[in-house]
Amino acid sequence: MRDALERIPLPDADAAQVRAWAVVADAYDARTRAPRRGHRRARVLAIALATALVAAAVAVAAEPPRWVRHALGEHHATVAPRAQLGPLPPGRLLVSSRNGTWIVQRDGTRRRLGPWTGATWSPGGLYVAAWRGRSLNAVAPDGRVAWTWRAFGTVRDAVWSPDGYRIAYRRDDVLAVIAGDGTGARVLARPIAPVAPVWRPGAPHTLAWVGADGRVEVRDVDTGALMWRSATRVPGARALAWSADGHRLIARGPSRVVVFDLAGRRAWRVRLPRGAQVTAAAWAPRGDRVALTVRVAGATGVYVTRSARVPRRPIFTTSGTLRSLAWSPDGRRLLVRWSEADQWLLLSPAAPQRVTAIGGIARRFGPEPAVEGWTRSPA
Amino acid sequence: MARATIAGVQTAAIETLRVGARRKGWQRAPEPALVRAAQRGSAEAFAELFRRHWPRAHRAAWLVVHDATAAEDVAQEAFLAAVRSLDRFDRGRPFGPWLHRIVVNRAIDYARAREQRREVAEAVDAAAPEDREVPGDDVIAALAALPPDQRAVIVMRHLLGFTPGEIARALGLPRGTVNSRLRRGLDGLQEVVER
Repeated sequence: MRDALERIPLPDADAAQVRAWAVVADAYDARTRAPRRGHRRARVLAIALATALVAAAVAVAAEPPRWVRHALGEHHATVAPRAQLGPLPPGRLLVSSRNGTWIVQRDGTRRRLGPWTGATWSPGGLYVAAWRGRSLNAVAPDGRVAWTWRAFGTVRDAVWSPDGYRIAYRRDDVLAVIAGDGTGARVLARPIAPVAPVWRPGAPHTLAWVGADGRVEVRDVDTGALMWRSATRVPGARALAWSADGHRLIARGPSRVVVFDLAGRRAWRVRLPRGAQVTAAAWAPRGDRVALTVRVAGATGVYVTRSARVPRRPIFTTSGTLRSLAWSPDGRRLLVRWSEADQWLLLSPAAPQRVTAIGGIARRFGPEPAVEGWTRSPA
Repeated sequence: MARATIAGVQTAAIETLRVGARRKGWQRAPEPALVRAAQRGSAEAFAELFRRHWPRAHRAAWLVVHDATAAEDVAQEAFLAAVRSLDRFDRGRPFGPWLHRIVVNRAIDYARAREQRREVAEAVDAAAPEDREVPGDDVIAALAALPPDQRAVIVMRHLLGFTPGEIARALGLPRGTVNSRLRRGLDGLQEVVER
């Protein structure tokens, strides 16, 4: 009997061991770091030296423009990353990389949900819609798959409606919607631009997307009724985001950010420095502020604004690339991934000098880890 | 420094796992020495503990839950629990059975919870048909047909080498219950294994 049980081939066993060891070794490393003062001092010195070297190299290699140099705070170059993921602000993070999808708890513990290429929280955080290839799945936070839908093409950018009864997703240039229990999939529109659709808060089945012509379209998915189609085009649109009250919609292109009002008119266009590229934009949970990452001439700044004007001073600046901009559910912290340093940065819009850096993100999650969502912890 | 590449993942962590233990000579060290060294902060000793016990912990979890992702999580969480409790661990006790008990209990919890969940039957992917010729498939199928509690005692007895008394203590069951679950489970499995 023992031989029979030993002979059974386990799926993906070697890779599972590698992944598990990376996690377990991290935990062991964190456990041993605190009491060993000699090692800790050496590590701090090494980190300080490495940071100084990187800062020196950056200073030589990149000469940011004046408006960025003016805004640079000295403290930004001296943030030493911590090794532990936790503690994080309250809530649960959803992170996807090429190695799968994880849920990260506030204390830094994480669970791999599965080998998904992307995922999104359900409105209450009770499920995750996760996709890989042609399959779209509802997955419980413990990794159990509640249902699977096989689409007719590669699934991307699924988003759960605010009431949980619909999931919209893209496949190729098609926009489709499926019920929250995995039934009744149907096509809504085609062709559309490669931008994730977004559900309007407060109007459960109203969806916004970008058509192939660059115009933003908002419809009720159940009746098909057109709410509005924008006259303004957003060429090369990358992302849409509703404000929390559903009254304003941001459309982000590579070099412009347009905010539409309730009727689809252009409410304001964010005035950006010449040559600037907006790499991310996110409404604060209460919808009163917008965070932007703006890259210009090799420097990237994180800005938080309440109007069309980008403030003079960013809350953080780096010569590297910032991605995965996400607000904590309480709206107090901003999480952004600093690609070159392989760090998450926790920024405080109210106190910009307060920056927490967390190292080893790609080492933990795999290549190109993206924060897919940050939801409140269950009550 | 050369790095191991497994499943497209390049990582220095696995190198510690494979090379570290060999370099320090931990591979032949008795388990109590490994636990003691790990408690004192030797990453190489802890890597050797992981290397020795991961395969069986992962296999035990998989045999109980029959789900690759869940098995990985169950075994991983057992090791994380081990890390958290390492300072308090009694070096007089064997490490393996303690770890395996955590694995099996977590796997049972997972398998029970999954059985209680109602799934959308027509939408759930069936097992890949190409898997049908995999060696041991008949054993997997026979094992999967058993309730999680019976699977767990079979795995503990015949893979992990627990005695019925140890299984009873580990799972908080009367010994008679363990014996009856073993007997019922084996009735179905024996025929397949001896075929």
